[in-house]
Amino acid sequence: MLQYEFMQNALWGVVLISVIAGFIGTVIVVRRKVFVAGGITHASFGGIGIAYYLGINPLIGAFLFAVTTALSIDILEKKSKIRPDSAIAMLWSLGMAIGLIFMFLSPGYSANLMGFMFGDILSIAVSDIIGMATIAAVTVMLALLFYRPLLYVSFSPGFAKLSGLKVGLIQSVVSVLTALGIVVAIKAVGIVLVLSLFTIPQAISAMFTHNMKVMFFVSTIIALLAGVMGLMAAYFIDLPASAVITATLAIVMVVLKLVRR
Amino acid sequence: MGNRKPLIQLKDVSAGYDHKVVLTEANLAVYQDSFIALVGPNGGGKTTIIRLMLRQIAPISGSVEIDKDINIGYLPQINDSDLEFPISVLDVVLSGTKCLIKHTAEEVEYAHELLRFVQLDEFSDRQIGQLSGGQRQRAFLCRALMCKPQLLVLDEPSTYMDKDTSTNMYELLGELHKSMAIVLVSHDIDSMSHKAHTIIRVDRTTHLVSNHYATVVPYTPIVKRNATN
Repeated sequence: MLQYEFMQNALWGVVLISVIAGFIGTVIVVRRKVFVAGGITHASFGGIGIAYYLGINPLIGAFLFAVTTALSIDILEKKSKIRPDSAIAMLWSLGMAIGLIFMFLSPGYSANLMGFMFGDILSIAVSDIIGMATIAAVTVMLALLFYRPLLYVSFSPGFAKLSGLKVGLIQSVVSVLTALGIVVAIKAVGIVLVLSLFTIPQAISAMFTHNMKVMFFVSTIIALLAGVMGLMAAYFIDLPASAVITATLAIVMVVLKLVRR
Repeated sequence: MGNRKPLIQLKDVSAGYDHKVVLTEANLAVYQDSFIALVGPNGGGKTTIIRLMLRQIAPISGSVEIDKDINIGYLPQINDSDLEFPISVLDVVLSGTKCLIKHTAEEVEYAHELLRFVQLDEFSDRQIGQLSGGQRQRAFLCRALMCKPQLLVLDEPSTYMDKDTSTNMYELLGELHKSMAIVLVSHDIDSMSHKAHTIIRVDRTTHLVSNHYATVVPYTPIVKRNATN
């Protein structure tokens, strides 16, 4: 199946997304920011819709919306009197609403709505791979080089601040990379199912290790295995890869939970 | 001895949050050999005094003078931490020093030394949530000690501890007091009154309750009004 260029691209995409999800997802999960990640993911659809309406690359719109949302949530959590979870829910649904409105305003709007919602792993282009590779490289480099500050800020931001770490800066870098990582993964697994790759492998690896660095790598491998399963299902039996990936991960997690009781 | 420089001095301090003043005319001096217990009702301003000392908030009025050369070790309230977080006991202790890339061998050795001091070294690889409440509190105490503080600040160290464990904790504090000043917040006055030299009740301002320390080292009374004994 690898004689086709679209399959090679898809496989590269799966590998890179697994790395991104393995690393960034671990940080999301250990910091208990899954709901925030959900907000960022769905809000990015607003950018996709506007970009589509303007006729520019939807990824650019998604990037802008995702990063803005991520940083806004950071500020809301620290400063605002609005309950953060309510604010996130608002940004979450507002983004979806904006996206939908602009998609419908676009002439001939029958855009690949399914593709944005549930991903289209076989349509990953070389330009997507370059974006993914860049984000994966930056993420892995920063996470491993600055592992100690990342660990300490994630565990206890208040104490990390007292010990002299630049907590705000580190959290902002994490937020921006989270937004970028989620957006490049949307192409393959879609807005609705992307969180599965950023949370289930991490939940599985947390059953076996209490070391965040080990979690990075174990999560990456689990995401990769599920990704390859999804890719094969898409190629051989024409099922949506994202759904197969999510179902595979969920089954593995439930089975392991039952076995390990 | 009256001209000794305090490590921290609060003079006529008012402080609070969002225009709500919780502390007024608070006065407190911490010397290098102080052992001070802050007691008083919830919302009375005990934690606010700690936050002033840690420079987490600035006073609305009055002055907070902190010796620039001192390190302050801090033990927060126990429910401040996520106990399911994937972090080992050793790494929790190491997080007490600022680290950008890698800890030095000396830092790692010192962390082990502290864990041996509180009899936790055999658990250094355990996930933090796998310790008992008292053990965990001792691990967080080690984190506070990593910066080799001249002053140790503890916020409700005996919360969720049974009597034996908290007795053990106070014995440790007695040992530590040989080399550093201690300020601790507690809601219960009994278990520490025999350890702390100075007991101050914080109820929107500071009231001196008792001061054995003053009989050993004469220094200016730290209260302005309503001092009781």
